[in-house]
Order: sequence, then C-alpha cells, then structure tokens
Amino acid sequence: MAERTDEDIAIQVQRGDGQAFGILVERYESKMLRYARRFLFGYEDAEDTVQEAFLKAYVNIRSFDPKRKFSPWLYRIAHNEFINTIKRKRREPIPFFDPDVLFPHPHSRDHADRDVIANDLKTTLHSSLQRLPPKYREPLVLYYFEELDYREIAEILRIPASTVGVRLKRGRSALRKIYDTLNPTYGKT
Amino acid sequence: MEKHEAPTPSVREQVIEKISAGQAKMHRRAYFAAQTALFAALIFILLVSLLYLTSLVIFELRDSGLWLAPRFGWRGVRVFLMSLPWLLVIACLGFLIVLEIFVQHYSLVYRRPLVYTVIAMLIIAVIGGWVVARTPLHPALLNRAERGGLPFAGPFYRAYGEKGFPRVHPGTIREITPGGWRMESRRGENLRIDVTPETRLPPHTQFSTGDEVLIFGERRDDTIQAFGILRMDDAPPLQVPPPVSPLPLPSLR
Repeated sequence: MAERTDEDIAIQVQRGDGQAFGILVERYESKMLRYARRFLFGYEDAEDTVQEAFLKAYVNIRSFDPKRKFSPWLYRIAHNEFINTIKRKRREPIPFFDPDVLFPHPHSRDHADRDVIANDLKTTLHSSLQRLPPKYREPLVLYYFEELDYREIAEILRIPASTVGVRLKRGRSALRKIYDTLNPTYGKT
Repeated sequence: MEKHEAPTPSVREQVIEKISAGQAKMHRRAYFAAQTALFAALIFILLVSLLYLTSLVIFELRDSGLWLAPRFGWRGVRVFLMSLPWLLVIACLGFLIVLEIFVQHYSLVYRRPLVYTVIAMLIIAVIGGWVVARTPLHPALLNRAERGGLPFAGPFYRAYGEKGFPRVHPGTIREITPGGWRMESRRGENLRIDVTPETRLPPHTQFSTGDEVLIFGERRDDTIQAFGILRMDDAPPLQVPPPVSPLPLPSLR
C-alpha cells in the first residue's frame, strides 16, 4: 500500500485527529532538528525551538491549504520560530529591511553540480557556518543540507527566488573568506 | 551505585504529550477566516486612505495651478518643489510604506522584487488619486470645511482654502497699468502685479481686463513680482467649490 502523503495526514489532523499529527512530527523531526542545529548554531535550545515550531504548526494546521505542499509550510513556521529565537537572544542582528530584495537580480538557476560543490562545501560549512550572518547562513543550510530548491527556499523566506540565488552566492564567497582566514595554508601547498 | 537516568523523550513524544494534555489547541477555521478578513479590511482601509491623501495632493496642485509651475523652467521647478504640500506628501509616503509591509504577506507580492511592487503601488496611488481628484469630493469637503463642518480633515482644507500656495496666485485682471496690472485674487484681494521683461508670458497672448490668470512669483505686501504668467484658458479648468455643498450638512446647533 502506498504511503499516505503529508497533505492527506494534515487533512486528517484538520478534522480533529490530534494523534495523526504524531506521524507528521515523526517524519519531520530529524529534518527540523538538523535545520535548527545548523541555523541556530551555538544556541543551546534548538530542541525546544523545534518543539515550539511543531506545536505552532499544530495550533495553526487549519490554516494550511492541503492543495499545496506541507513541507514548505512547516519550514516557514520553523523559520519564524528560529528567527524569533535569534531576536530574543539578541546575539546576532536581524535587519528589518534587506536591500537584496529591492531590485531584480539576473536570473540564477539551481546548480546542476550542487552535489559536487556540496561535498566540498559541506566540510567548509561545518567549520565556518556559525561565523556567517543569519541572512546567508539560512539559505546555505536549506540548500546544501535540507536540499530544497530555490523556489521552496524563496517560499520559506518569503523573498524572490532570484534573491535566494544572490544570498547563496554571497554566502559561499563569505564562507570561502572565513575558511581562508581560518586555514591560511589551504590551497597554497 | 550507578544511577540510571530516564531517557530524554523525543520531540515527537513531547509534542504529542502536550497536545494530549490540552496544552496546545487547534484554532478553528473561523479564527483564520476572521484573521484573513481583518487583514484584508486593514489593507482596504490603508489603500482608501492612501488614495484619499494622494487625491487631496493632486486636487490642491490642480486647483491652485501649482502643477503648471515647472513650465517656467528651473525657477518654476524650484517654486513647485518649495510649495508642495510636503506634510501631505510625507503622509502619502508613510501610508505607502505601511501598505507595502502589509501586502508583503501575499505571495503575489513577496515573490517579486520590492521595487516592482512599490512602483505598481505608486502608479495605483497616482492614477486612483487623479481619478478621485476629478470628482466633486474635495471641492465639497473644502466648502464644508470652510463652513466649519469637517472635524478631522477640516484644518487641512481650511489652511489650503485660506492661504493657497505662497508663490501661486490665481485671480482676474482688473486694470492694465504701466509696468503691470491690478488683479483681484480669488479671495477678493486687490493686488499689484509687476510685469518685467524677465516675466515669462505665453507666446502670442494678449491680456486684457477680465482675463482670469495664474501669477507665479513672490508676494510682498500687495505686490507680486511675477516671473511667469498663464491665462486660465491655457490651464485646465480649476475646480471651484460649489456655492452649496451637495452633501447634507450636519446641524451646527
């Protein structure tokens, strides 16, 4: 028998079956924890934040449109929760306005060689991610670790897809600079 | 003795436990419907307010003739910028920013670069404001404000109605004198207009008494040093407040 889709289960939860929500939590628990641990690097309460995100998703599940995909909706709630955590802790600034969303950018597509780049980059990401500002850290996490495409990331962050491309590009260059500073001998031997 | 700690419950277990204990309750559909309706109503109110303010700015510019000042070159542009009702313009921009923040909620908007949506809203505000400015709304409200029957926007209308714009003077030529004219302003003042060789006049136009004109220039006491003059016929017809308001006036007693 084919596995029921997230959207089918969401409909069941919307009808009042609270226990069915457990299936959705089970499906997304590890993804959300991974997303939280990488995005909220150095924040000790990643698990609590994920739990809070799931509870918010449950409370608001009737606002979910089952004709659309469930995962970006859940990621959006998690994103809001994570941003609130960062704001609350006041450890990193979250600017109210991002000039990157102001103007159109040249159309940039998902890289076909993401996997090749990703393998190199993931090692770099692990060591340098926490030094990146949240604005660049989050798209990198969603793209390279959560393997979401530009359109999905754009929906989660509520920014134009071309801005996702710009943030990824700037995030990668920033990451390279950080990595070069930490490993001055890298690539020079 | 070795102490055995209970394993930490998974996120799933904790979430289900809180749901079962009633610590998290699903909102009803009506809650989201009300939220959506409230949000849409707020956007509607903001949009109507923006259109109203924009139309008021456009009405004042057209009614006073100030919008024709740039015809007289850089000096006219300077007069136009210096005389703009900046308070209203800033209020329009404020409403535009707040409206932009609200509409960013919709995918149609946040999927596009901000500059596109801001330009689209500016176009809507200007075209909508221009359409509203052509209706009898503002002349009627001006009339009502001058009778003291407009509580909130009244001071804005009265300030405009009493003073107009400082460097634009509409009126009627009463007498042609050497070096200038005598003009009766819209407010019934008798003004002297200094016309010098530097005064820019519309080509091939002869002025005579009884002509309705727009004088651009600094006023000192009862004398205006005109740097530009237009005949009303050259300008679009001005919206003169009707003598009787078409809106029922509340009793002042």
